[in-house]
Amino acid sequence: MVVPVSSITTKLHVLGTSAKHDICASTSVSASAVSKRESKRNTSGNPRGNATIGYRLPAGCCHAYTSDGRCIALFKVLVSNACTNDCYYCQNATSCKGFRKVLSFHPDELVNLFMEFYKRNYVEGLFLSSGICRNVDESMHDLIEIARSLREKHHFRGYMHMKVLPGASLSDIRALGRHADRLSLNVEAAGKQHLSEICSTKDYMSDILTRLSWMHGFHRQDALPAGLTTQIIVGGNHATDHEILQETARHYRSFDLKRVYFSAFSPVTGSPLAKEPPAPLLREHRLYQADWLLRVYRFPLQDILPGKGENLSLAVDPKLRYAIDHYSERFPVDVNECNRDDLLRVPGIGPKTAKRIVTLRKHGTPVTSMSMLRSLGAVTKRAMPFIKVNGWRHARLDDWLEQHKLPGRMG
Amino acid sequence: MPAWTIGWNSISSPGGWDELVLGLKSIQKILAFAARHETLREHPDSYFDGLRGKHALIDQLRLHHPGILKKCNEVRNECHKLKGYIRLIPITDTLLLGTYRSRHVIMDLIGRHFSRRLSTHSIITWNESLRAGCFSPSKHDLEPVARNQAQDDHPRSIDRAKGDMAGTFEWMRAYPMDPTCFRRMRLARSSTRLMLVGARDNATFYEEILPRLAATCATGCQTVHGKVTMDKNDAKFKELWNAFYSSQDVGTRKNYRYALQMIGKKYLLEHFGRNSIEARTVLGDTSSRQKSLLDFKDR
Repeated sequence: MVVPVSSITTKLHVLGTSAKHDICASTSVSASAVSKRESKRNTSGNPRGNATIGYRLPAGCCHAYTSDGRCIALFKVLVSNACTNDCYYCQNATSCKGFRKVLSFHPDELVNLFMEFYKRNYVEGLFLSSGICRNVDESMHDLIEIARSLREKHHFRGYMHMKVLPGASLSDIRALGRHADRLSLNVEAAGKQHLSEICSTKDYMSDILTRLSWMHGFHRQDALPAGLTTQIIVGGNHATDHEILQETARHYRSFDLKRVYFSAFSPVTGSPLAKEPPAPLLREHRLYQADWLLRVYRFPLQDILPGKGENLSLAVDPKLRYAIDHYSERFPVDVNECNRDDLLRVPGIGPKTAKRIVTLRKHGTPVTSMSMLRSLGAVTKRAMPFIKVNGWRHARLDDWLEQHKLPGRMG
Repeated sequence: MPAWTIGWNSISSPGGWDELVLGLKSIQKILAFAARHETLREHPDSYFDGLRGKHALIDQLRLHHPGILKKCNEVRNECHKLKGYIRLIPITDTLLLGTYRSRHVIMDLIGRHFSRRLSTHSIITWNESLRAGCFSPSKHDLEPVARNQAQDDHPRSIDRAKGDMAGTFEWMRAYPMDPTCFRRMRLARSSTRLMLVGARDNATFYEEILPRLAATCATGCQTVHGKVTMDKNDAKFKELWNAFYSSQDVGTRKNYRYALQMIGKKYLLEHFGRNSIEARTVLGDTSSRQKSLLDFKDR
């Protein structure tokens, strides 16, 4: 049966709109993880030998940008927007009073549509989630069917990020994980109490944490090339940044997550939280900066954690806040003498610049001027009061803070 | 007379290529190469992407010859953008055409990307600004090519071609090679599945070369008055894409300064045109509001 374009267009628009708040930043996949997984499996069933469609790029590739500057790399849709859960922030919740069309893609329809988009180079991969139509198992089976069809029938070897639905069975998680590059399950809130503020139907422990631990178990046995991720809503409940960061660090430790994404709450018309104020995007940004310090800079959690019951400062980023507060103990540092960890504590110096400075030092090329430091990638304007070059400090902290109209040291 | 040339995987330039690729061990060789070619823009700057893995070399370059690194980044950025922005249009079920414009000589990098991405399809990518491109036969179409593969792009080797590809080589030989174009082709990098294509003008490509390439590798190719006809469903897919694209916008997260930083106004207008959805969405009403809407402005 030929489906009219208009109906697919409507489905695409409606189900795309429902999925747009889910975050999937990167399509980057570790090549070694892919080869490790594929070597484990018997791929001889492919009658075309190596003739497959798609490959995973080493770095993200953007095919379009939305007007808010976000990149569109993946074909991000829901299989269905019918849902039995009652999440107060969501437009698909059972208690949402706003008018909405309930639509679903047939697995074959979605697969063919995606393959056409991929062939024409409109998208780089697939991001698939779903509302829970009648029960979790049925919806999970749709997701598995789509993933299986793409991998086995169409021999698609590109990137696939699949959402695990809360309450999914262990066998379904395994079946989905066999085909996907990345699995994710949204935690949504920083703890059981805060989840109950925004959702009445999900159980934090059994529906989410237990499933995350199953996903982690699967990931350890049969490595997912792009790992596991989760997402936390910022705002909409009473969780503070202190609690969010503590929970984030715990998830990284417990489930070996690749990323924790943060999504600033924005009210949806007709939903129970429609009258709640939106969370500032700057708060989300500060949480990402703190998360970056945890994962990439390897800062201990206590160094960036705000006081109990407090949020991160909106005026100053967490790294600069740390440097200002610990100025008398740690700064200024001599860029030619300190180690990589100390360099990473300096605002304006990131992991790449720190590595360049250390590598050049090993090759007998010390940093002799601020311009040299700048050419190595450092933001000298920010680093100036915290470093010494040739034994000289180029700015006093108090003058610098005054010049940039930044708040001073704590206490 | 139209002048164009086709080169196989036979890049053996006596100049910088061998020296640069085989001798990446020392920075002196790179710098010597750069010194000989004063204006790197005339040459396939993409050679330098091989430097990425060599941190010590990169650091030295960054300090002492930032211009080279800047050029490498320009090439890499343009290549990266085009990999995402080129849209392929089906000519037949297994043959796709993608056209684009670029400032740098990156036809081979673009062609190689798409040949890896869709190994079941034959792909023609055409650079309209440099009037050169890449033809990448699918694995299925490659078989006759591999069987009779020419050792280099010298006309003598074409004589050795037999079988299905013999006819192709004959019409290839029917046209004289333009020396300027050939020099550029010779410098460009290629792989086993890439055929470099050049033409004096775009009309020659669309009217002569494209129909012949299509006829070589694909059955069922539709031609009208000798011109290849594109997939009639393409408009339908553009409509579907627009439906999806418009659904992804989160109104509460609009951030024009960030959007302009990410996309690049000049590139956006050049590539999509002023009236495109992309350009209108991002640039449409930004002129007056742009200054007041800062990144992550607290609402």
